[in-house]
Amino acid sequence: MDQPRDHELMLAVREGALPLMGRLFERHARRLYNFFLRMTFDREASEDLVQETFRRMLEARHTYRDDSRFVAWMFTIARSRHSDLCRKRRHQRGEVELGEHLPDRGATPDADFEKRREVMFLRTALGRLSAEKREAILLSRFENMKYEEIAQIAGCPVGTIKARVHHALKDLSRLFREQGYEVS
Amino acid sequence: MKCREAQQRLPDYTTGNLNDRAIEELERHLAACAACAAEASRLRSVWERLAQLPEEELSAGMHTRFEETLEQHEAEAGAGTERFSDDRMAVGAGRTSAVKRKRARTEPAGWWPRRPVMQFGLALVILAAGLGLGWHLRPDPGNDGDMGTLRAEVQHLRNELARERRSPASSVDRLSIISDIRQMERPPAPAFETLLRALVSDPSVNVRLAAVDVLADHLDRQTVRDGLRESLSGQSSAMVQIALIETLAGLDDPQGQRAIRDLATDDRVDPAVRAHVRWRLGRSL
Repeated sequence: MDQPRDHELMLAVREGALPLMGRLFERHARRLYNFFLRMTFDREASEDLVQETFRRMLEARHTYRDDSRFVAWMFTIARSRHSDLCRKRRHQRGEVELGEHLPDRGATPDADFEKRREVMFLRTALGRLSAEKREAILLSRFENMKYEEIAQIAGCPVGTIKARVHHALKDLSRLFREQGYEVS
Repeated sequence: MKCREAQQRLPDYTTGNLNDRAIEELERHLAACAACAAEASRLRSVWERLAQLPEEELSAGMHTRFEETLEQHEAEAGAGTERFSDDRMAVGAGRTSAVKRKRARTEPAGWWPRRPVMQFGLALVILAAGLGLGWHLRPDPGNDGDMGTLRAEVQHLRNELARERRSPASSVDRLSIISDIRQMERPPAPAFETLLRALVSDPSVNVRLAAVDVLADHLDRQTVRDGLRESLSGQSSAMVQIALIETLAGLDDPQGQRAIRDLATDDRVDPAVRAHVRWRLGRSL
């Protein structure tokens, strides 16, 4: 028997079958966590954001419409949770800071040094993009979303998303060259 | 195609946002232009390198933490905690038994009969007992004050019984009324009064949410818009407030938008609702 789609599960949650949100958590929590991790570089904050996002989805389940697309709806809520965190941090510290550089999990001295260096560099380069550009490029690259969908999630015109992705790619290309990475 | 146009299209080409025809035109240009081909290659390299970012697993406690959150919500919603081994069954059960679960949550108190005939009979028994007691304790004929009081009490009891007969005891009956109104093509004015009264004072969150749903289809009526807006701050349920916010946010109504904004700074409002308002405000209501 085919597994029910996310949309069907969420409709059932909306109608009162709350335990099915657990199924959606199993399916999507990891991808959300990695999205937040690439946005914040902070594991603890990313875990909190995942929990917050699912909690908010439960609370706002009655706003899930028959014509909603689950992943877009989830990321819309996820995005607003991240924005709230940024506002809170800005208020607390006066500027938005990314998390400390993530130590590699499970890395050993014998691990591929070049690979680890490249990962460190990628994180640094992403961190130097503005939050809006970083979000757009992450949704495009890792969630395979088209500009129209990202625009719907971000609540801005398609042209704005297109510009953000364009600039993000160009900025990353420049940063790679500055750091001595040959990109060809 | 000129280089300028090709350069503008390269990011879309890299990210998979070009249609087939545009891809074909661009690739013809790249085949003939080394500079643009080099730039395309650079962007492609950046795109592919991003895949080097590792995916991390959730920590061990994440699932447990979420389970606790879910249990809290289930307890608050009074939802059934049925679990199914098969999600398809669960989705179907969720669809078809949603009403059953709502009914289970909203059963009247155990001692009160469900059938109206039984309700009426029990009420008559109570009335007869009250009258009998009153007769037994009747004062001297000369003491009209106490008799007057008793008469008033009996009349009050009669009024209460009449109200009980008019007002269904269970929320399923009240939901059924709302469902009937939903089916009407042009509900009469009293129907909207019923819906707005339910929104403000029904003890069941499900009934209030159902009322919001039906009222949302009639936002062309000023009384409906006013009623929704006025009920916003007094709602005790976060879910109903969020549903109201979503309904009012889409209107071009300055008063409604102001009512929503006011919630964001009201400490008496549930933090989840305040956060939802801030999210909404971020989307420029």
